[in-house]
Amino acid sequence: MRAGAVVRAMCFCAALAISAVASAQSAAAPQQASNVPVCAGCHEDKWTSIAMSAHGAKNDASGSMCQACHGDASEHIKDPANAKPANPFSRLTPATAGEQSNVCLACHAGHRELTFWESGKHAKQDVTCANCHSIHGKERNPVVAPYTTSFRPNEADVCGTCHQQIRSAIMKPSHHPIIENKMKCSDCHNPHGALSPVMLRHESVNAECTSCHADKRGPFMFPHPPVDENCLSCHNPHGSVHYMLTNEHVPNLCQDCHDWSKHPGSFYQGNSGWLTPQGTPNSSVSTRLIARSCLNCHNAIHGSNAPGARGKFLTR
Amino acid sequence: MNRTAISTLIGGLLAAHSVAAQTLYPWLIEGAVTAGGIVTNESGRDTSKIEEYRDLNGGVLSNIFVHGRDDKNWFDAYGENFGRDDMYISLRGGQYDVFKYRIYTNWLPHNLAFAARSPYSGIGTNTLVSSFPQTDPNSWNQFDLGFQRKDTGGYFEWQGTSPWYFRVDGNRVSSSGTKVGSGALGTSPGNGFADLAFPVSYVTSTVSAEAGYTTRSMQFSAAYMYSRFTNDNPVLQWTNPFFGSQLDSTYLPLDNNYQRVALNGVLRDLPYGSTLSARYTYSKTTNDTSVAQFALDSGGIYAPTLPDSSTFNGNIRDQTFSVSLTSTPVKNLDTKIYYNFYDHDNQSTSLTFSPNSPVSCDDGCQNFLYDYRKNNAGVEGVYRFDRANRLSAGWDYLSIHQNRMDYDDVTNNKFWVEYKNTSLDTVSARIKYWYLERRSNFLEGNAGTGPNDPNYLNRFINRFDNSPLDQNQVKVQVDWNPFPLFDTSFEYIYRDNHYKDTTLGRTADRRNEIFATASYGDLKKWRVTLMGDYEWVHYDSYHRNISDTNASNAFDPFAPASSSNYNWFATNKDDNWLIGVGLDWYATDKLTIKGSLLYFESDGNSDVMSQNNFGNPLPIEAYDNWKRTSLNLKAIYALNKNWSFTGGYAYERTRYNDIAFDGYQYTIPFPPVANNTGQSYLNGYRAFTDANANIFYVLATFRF
Repeated sequence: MRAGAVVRAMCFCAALAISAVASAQSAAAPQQASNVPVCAGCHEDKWTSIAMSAHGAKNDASGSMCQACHGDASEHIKDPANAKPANPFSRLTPATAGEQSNVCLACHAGHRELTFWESGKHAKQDVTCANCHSIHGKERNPVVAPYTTSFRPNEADVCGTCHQQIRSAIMKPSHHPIIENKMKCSDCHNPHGALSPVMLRHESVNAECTSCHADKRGPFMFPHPPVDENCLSCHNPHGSVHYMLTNEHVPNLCQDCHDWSKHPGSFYQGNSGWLTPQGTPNSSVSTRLIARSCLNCHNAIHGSNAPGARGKFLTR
Repeated sequence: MNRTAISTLIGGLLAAHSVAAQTLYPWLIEGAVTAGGIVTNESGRDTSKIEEYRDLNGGVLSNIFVHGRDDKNWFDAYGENFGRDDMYISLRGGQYDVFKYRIYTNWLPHNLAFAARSPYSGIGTNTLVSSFPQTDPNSWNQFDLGFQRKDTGGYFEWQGTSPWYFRVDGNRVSSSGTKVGSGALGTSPGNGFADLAFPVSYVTSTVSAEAGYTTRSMQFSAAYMYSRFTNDNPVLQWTNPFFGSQLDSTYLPLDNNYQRVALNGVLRDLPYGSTLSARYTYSKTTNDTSVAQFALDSGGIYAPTLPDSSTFNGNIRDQTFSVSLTSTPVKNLDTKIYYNFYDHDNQSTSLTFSPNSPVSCDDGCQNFLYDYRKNNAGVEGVYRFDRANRLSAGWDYLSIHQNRMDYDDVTNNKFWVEYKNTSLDTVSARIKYWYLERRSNFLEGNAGTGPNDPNYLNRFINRFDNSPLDQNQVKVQVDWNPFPLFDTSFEYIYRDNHYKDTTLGRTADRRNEIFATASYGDLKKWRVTLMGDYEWVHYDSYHRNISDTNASNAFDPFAPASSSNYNWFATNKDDNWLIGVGLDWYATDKLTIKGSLLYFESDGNSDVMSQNNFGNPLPIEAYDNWKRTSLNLKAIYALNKNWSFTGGYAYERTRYNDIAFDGYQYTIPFPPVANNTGQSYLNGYRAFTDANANIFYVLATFRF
């Protein structure tokens, strides 16, 4: 079945390519027009880098797309050596971050992704469009990451150049599949601005998390209130050394809130595990410390639909 | 949506591209096809941690990329790992300024444990049965714990009637397999537990529609979303040896419906360079179920639960409103004023289970339905002295009103200030300080009648998520390029939380984090990147151990300590560090070498102390201790402009030590005891994850 799926999927993409080429041949343009701009006469590599993009598609022989970003080049064409366009992206005389971004926003401001650009952190921190988007292609630093079966570039490599704390967090043993390229930073955050804190796409942390983890939406017959209030009370979504992205090792995470008679406040320590401090099997191993600790019994930690005490104490 | 339908749809769309618009320029097509193989040699009893989100099984690796456009139409088709558990396919396209679309499928394996064991049969179903006692783990059933997630969906957006646009999105996420779960066997911690494999057969289907009006100076949109989550197995039944080996029930996530309406609006180009942004959302989450009328109890009897309602109707309504005004009131000063409102209203069925039920609470079990209302407002300003110096400051206020039993009103005030300097061509530096003050109204100050009443303890339990808090954080960031081809980046974060007035609970936590990156070399010839970080995190907490509830003043933490009832104190420490190096070397005009080496280590421990050393406190030396090595090497040889060949090798090594798993056994007690109805049964999840993997792959790529 798997081999069949491979063949079908590859045939589908190959057919797509063939039909595209056929369409190109059959839909012959009435004239062999060219949108290669005059700028390519000297800046061929810059033209080549955008030729296949929307920017290239909208260009024309006079280089109107080039000038839309790099400034009027009419004098520059006449005297390339001495008359430079007022290029806001020039390394020698760069414009301010806001001025650079306004170049892009002149066309893209109406894009729905940019609805809340002005309210976002990146705009406030002078992060420009060109900091993340490489219009002409940019060589990037070597990727330092574990092997992944994905061939695609990883968005996190871009975000991680500034957000080093997050870059390190996603490398931790318990993490969302970001380094595996199965999730992107922009799945949860809108880097183009949002009204929510930390530019979440959804209006709250819980709405964000349950958009994927729909099984945690509830409503539960017996909810666990800190779960309803904020997933981040217990979890670090970027990565953790503790399992299930928790902030602290259990049972301590639970005991930081639950201190009661008998086992909630029980003293779990070095001789509560599988082995004694001497390394021999422990005849007094505590079922509340080993394995999943509190969750061995209180499994329904996000809420329960069980009746009576089984539900109230989240054991079923 | 099946593959035939997808292929047909794509073919139709492509044909539509070609005929729908007269084009000036011919189609340009480029792409690449990659195929090869992967071989993995793994050692370790359970290699699931290495393969957690990856399919490393030997077989074919493949990748296709085709990109095409003319002056009006475009498409991107991409697919990788066809037929593998981590397959990804995406097709995007459209006609510039007229419409665009995307169709995709993204498969994600989630491997939790390989060669797990269970005394139960029926793994993967909603009924797990066994005959107890089960004293020989070697005779148990073996299985792999984990599930496969498949996300398939797409969108279509119409822009042809700009400034109006219309968009529809939809996706279907299915998860199937098993996940971690367990069940307490009795009603007391001493009655044992059993690891269970919860069946996973989830489907989440989401559709949304959006319409909007968008120009350079204003944007308005309205969107409606409907999402339905279904679970084929809302109840898992399993043999419970403690209760007469009858079938017990664990209740899994119910089907739910989620609906959301969102309204967005933005007005730009207002006076003083202002932009006014606003958003309103209303959402409703609902489900319903019959309330279980019986529950398995002592002696294998199904005891009546005696609820005051036979059905539970879940109904949670959330409303939010956000508004933000950004302005430049005077030259060089940018400001932002904002307000956010959140209302969480749980209108679900209020249930009480009679105390006369054997499976109810002593005073009856009533469900607690949590509501809150939050008001958040703030102001920020950025003053630019000149292009190289800027000073920012802000104040954020948050007020929470909720129906929690311990805290009803909580207010946060956060003040922050930041200075950024870029006056030197080679250095950019930023330092930020913030102070957060949280104050909360504690409702349990008079809880309980006296120190012999268990409720009296509530006077002293202060839960860190709401307790009064003083937080200080400092962040320093420096980017330095001292000479050509070399750049470095350094970041330091310090955070200190002091939970004020806390007697029992988390009293403090602190973290120091250092991150650094350095890169050197000509990007067109060779470049090396070094990265590293060190993090030091401590949590302090104070607790009370109460073993003798009948002792005098048992529930008073200020009472004299005894060998049964005493206070104890813990400091949990997580020290972890990461170092990595990456290299890109363009050895010749045809040969490129890329390499990466990462090493991560974490050392966790818990220092514990107690009054008078009661309980014989011994530190926990291994508390989530990890060592992970990842080596990734590949060589790419470009035979000509069309053909290239890649050979790669990767090595992964993972080691894990933790008191909860070192010396692991499948039963408690071990050796297992026949006729012990309170014996615990474990399946090996997380217990044997030390593993190595050698991964070899070769690929051939044809570009066109």
